[in-house]
Amino acid sequence: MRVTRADATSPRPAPDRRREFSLVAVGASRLLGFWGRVKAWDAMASALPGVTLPAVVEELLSEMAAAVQENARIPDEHLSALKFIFGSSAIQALDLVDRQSVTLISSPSGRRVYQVLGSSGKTYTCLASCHYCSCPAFAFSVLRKSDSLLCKHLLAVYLSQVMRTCRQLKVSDKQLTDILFVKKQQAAQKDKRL
Amino acid sequence: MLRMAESLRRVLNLGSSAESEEENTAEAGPPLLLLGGPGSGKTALLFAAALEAAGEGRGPVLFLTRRPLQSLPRGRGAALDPLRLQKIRFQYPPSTHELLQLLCSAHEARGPAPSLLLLDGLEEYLVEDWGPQEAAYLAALLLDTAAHFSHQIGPGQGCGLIVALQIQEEGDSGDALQLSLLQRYFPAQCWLQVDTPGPGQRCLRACLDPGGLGPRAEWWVAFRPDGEMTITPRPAQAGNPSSDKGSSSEGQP
Repeated sequence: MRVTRADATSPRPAPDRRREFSLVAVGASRLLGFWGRVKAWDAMASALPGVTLPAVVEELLSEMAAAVQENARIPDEHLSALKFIFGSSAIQALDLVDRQSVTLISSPSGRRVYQVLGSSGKTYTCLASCHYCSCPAFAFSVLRKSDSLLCKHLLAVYLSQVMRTCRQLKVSDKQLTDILFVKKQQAAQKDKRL
Repeated sequence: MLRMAESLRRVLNLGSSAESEEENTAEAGPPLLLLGGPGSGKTALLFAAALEAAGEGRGPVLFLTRRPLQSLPRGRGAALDPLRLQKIRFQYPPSTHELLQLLCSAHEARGPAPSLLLLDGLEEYLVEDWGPQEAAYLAALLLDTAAHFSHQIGPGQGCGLIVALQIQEEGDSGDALQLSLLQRYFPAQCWLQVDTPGPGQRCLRACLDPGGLGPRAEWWVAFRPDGEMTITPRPAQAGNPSSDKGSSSEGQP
């Protein structure tokens, strides 16, 4: 499914989130009931735990899901809100969804994990149960600096759930272990160096 | 006497549902990080939580720790019922590598899924020069493993997760970064502090912060010379918590 997102693909490069804030705000505040909640979320963004999405984002995603079911497309207002909250990651994430880069991998045990094929050609692992992505941006911007909520891969996972465009892949329990345990080499190497 | 372990879980159970004291709210609640200095009773509390969960008539309890417990904490009556002890499965991953492997392959294990996953001594598995991503992956895998067990158990119930981490009294900056990172994944925390080192008896203060899901609560945890643990609720925020005038133990019978 293609997403119509005239607004989201506009070439404005978003140098300053605050400025963009006011641009989107004017339109969005009229269009969206979200606005008050978005502002409330913005005020407490620093206190966010890393495991769950803030309620306003959850709400946005579930309204998007409802809209997709009804009209098979995401309304522009939702795309604007998405872009406001996530900045340039929103567009990159939508691109990943368009390219069907998100794969839901499951094994007979019922355990699941996501893999996202990044624009660089690298594959990143995202856990299905809590916020974790193996990409460098997640390590830097989300974990170390806490200046963003998600990386584009995790956002793509959520969006592909909403838009039901996940590829599905069934693997054996053992194969799923190997996918989750990819990080072992890194950890083992570090163990050795100590 | 295991009120705290029970309460730990009960209080955490509040989560979304009402504050009722129902016995059967078996929802697991959010993952909990148990924090304290050396010898602050973390292992004893984890074990108490294990016994409590083992007595609930649900699945087994999976207790991960680097080395076997030195001694079984003392208990009375039903608490140390061998049937309960049998339901606690101890596993001793000797290295970070083995712990990661155990968590990554948890879905390959056969048999009933655990109702509670416990990890003692997380600090022993946090490799010193790990970046934030590796530490986050370990925390996230613990959550993912518990989530998978919950999925296996089915709707309505879940697998709880309590992880004990030893912290230094004066934390250095590296510790602080790792701690704030872990707190992302464990919004609910219970801090243990030595309260009044009375004669013959060690007394600790346990402060439970359920991460915005309910009110903070405090307990006194006392260890008698014979090793027996008693737990009493600390009067709920009666005074200002900053002043330590509640340190005489006459407050609560």
